[in-house]
Amino acid sequence: MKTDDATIIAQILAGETKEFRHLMRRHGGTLLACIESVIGSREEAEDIVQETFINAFRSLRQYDDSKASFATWLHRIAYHEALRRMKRRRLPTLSWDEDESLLKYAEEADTDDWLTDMTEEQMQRLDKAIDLLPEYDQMLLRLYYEDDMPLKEIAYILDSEASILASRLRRIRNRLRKELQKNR
Amino acid sequence: MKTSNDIKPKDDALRQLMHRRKERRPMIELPKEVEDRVMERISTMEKVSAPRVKAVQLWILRAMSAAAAIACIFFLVETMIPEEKEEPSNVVAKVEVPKPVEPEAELEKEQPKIAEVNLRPTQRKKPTPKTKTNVVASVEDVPLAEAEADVCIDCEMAAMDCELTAMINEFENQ
Repeated sequence: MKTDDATIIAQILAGETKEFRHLMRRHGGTLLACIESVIGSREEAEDIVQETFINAFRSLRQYDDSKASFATWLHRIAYHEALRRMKRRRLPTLSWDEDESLLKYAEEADTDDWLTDMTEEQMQRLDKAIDLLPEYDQMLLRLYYEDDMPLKEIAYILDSEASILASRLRRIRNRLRKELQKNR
Repeated sequence: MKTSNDIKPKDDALRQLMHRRKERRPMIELPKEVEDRVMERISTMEKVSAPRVKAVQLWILRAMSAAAAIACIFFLVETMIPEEKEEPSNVVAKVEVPKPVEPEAELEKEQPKIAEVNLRPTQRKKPTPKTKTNVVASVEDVPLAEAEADVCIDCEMAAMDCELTAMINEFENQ
């Protein structure tokens, strides 16, 4: 029987620190994939995930399961670690506020008609359009569409607000629609 | 009422596409080397924190013991050392009993001094030659005056005794 995260955390806090390895095996892969898609480097992503788990162990007593799941909490730590490194290296940071490239898509209403009855060719073109998005937009799409994570949780990870993220998602969809119509 | 926070994505083409991308992506596992490095650092943290915690606890105990010792010493000092009582004042307010001095003699004694003090050098008069009439009572004459006063008192007492004796005799003879 698979032990849930809360039970393992309780064991670790009771002194059985070796159980922390189970948490790493459970969440490490997902975390690594997510960070790698943002950073673009496997080696850098592994360092970030390593620091994430060490910081998580240090802060384990402060973890509150009523606020977010353990996976979400880990993602939040990983995101801030990635942001810190990117700022230190003066790389383009994950700006979750206004993005000038997407501002022009904010005015148009978000309609989902274009996402219905898509042909395979259209799906492939959409796939390529997603690859051209900035890393942080891809991360938002992954968390929202792949992991089916509520906007409230994503806002907790990214230290933003759900309303801001909702607005950004609308703009991303509008941009993808424009790209799709452009390539017809 | 559902808010934008709770709404999940529609199962539209975009969501389906994202799921297809996820399935297409190879499953990544965290390398064992990363796991081992993390566990190694955790064990190091535990080794460092244990003696540090003990050292902190020991320091706290020592500080509390020292504070308790100081408090005890302070208490003992306050209670054992008697208060310094104020010595009762044996000095009685001295009441000056003026000597029974003839007022005239006193006045005559002070007058020449006052006369000398009050007068400025420019105002000082030439000293008048002493004559019999203007000779004031000197210090040597004071005991004589006192003796003469005492004699007068004795006389009066003697006179009173006589009167009293006479009265008694008269009474007895009645």
